[in-house]
Amino acid sequence: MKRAIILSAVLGGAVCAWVGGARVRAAEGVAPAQIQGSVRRIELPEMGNGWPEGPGKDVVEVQCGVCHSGRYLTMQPTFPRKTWEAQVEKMRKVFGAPIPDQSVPGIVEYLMKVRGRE
Amino acid sequence: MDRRNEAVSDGTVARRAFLRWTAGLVGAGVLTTSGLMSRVLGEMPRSAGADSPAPGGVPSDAPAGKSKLELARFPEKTELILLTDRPPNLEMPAKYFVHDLTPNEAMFVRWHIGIIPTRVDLAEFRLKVGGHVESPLSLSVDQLKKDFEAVTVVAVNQCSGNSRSLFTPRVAGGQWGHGAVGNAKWTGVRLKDLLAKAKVKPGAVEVSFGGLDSAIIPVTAQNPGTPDYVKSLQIAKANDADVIVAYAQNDKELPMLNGFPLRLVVPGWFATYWVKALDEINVLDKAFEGFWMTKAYRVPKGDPKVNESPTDLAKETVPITEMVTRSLFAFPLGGEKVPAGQAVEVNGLAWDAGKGIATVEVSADGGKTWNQAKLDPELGRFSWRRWRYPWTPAAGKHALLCRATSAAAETQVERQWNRSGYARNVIERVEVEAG
Repeated sequence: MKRAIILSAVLGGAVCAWVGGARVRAAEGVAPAQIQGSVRRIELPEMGNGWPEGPGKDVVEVQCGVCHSGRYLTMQPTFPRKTWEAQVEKMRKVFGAPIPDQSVPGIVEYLMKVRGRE
Repeated sequence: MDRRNEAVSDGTVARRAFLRWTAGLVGAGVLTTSGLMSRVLGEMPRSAGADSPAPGGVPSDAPAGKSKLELARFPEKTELILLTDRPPNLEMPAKYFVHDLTPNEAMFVRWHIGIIPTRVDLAEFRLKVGGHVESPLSLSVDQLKKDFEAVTVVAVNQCSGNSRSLFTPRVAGGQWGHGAVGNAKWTGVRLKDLLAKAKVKPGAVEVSFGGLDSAIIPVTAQNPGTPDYVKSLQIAKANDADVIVAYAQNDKELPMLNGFPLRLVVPGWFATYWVKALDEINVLDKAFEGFWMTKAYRVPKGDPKVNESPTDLAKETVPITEMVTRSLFAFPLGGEKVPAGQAVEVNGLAWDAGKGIATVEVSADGGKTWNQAKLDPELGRFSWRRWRYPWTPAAGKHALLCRATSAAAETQVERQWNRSGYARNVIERVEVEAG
């Protein structure tokens, strides 16, 4: 494994490019896929669930966190309430999130708290 | 210019996959009641950062230069800008625009739905070609390489939503800067050769494409579920000799996160059609009606510049298809300092949907006057093309602009907006300081 990493770093050095005066070392520290016979495998990094603190976080972690991490929210700019309401509806109607009606207002409040603007 | 500013903070912690765990839950039918979900999610391992106030560290609405972007390393990938981790969406940092061919480890990553392939056994993997055909096929990657002519194309792979974070007013979606794009040499077999071998029956109208990724909330009789990521091409486009099923990216196997072992490559078209981990090609005798064609990835009808007004949305939309002409700076990047009174070579990239780039003009005075840049030799009509412009700046602040024009006389616009933040083709502007 270690040898593979060193090898990839060496190969990466060969991919160095000089363009416009800038040098970019491409492949330094790139973790290779694991290959065993005909099987190729990678392991995705665990990065925490990514939901910021806020009222209703526990519900959001469950209802939204099933399919995606909190970074889907934290990468967004702020939006008005109607945008977040529409997003929750989209997740329910279009992407099939099994969010019960009674959970919706709390989720919208949380989204407003984290990325809302009135 | 990017609204965001790069800063390093590597939150990567190696561990086992949540996805497999969740997939198990779905299989066991546990995901249908929220109480159980809560209990099991409560057992999830947490890592540092899970409880911090802004774990993504990406307040994308912050003023230019004030926000911080998080970088992360995923398998087979160099340090990329972390938009989201689950499912992964990773952007190429702008420093890689100095490469004519984007290194595989720097190519951006964009997955839509929850369960993505992390393990492929080539002994079992088969590409199936079926539907409205006389002789359905089931091909291993080896058979694909042995039985069909290999072809190579250099082509730009660009997400429809590349540069979405620059739209004003802002729109929801992946908040990409300019790095949801790369250029690579793709090698594979012509889709039309596969279709010919399968003997398409008369009356075929479209061909659909699905990959190994799947939804966490499956479609059932009780629940609409998450639509599988499936795209389609009209039969004429599918028989276009440029469209290939690629097994190599820059002469190497595709990284798993870029679609190992096979990826549809539709040169000149946005990457939404470049289905990753492609394993199912279906010929259809009627129009495909899947969500990712009929509801998502749509643009205002009839405006080649992909424009509409926030207060007067287009009544009709159509699927996004070809890329629009655009150009970017590789050097200097926005905010970069250059020496005053010395000649520097400004350079960047330009591309279109395959007609070719005719000219790139640069303005060093905020758009008052424009001069032609010199173009490097073309690497192929679907590749991006580097342009260069000699510049000796006086001390002080400067606004550099670039705009490309294609051989079909398509050029870039001063302003653009659409509800989904697609197909950005605004004249590029960077602010730099000479001193």
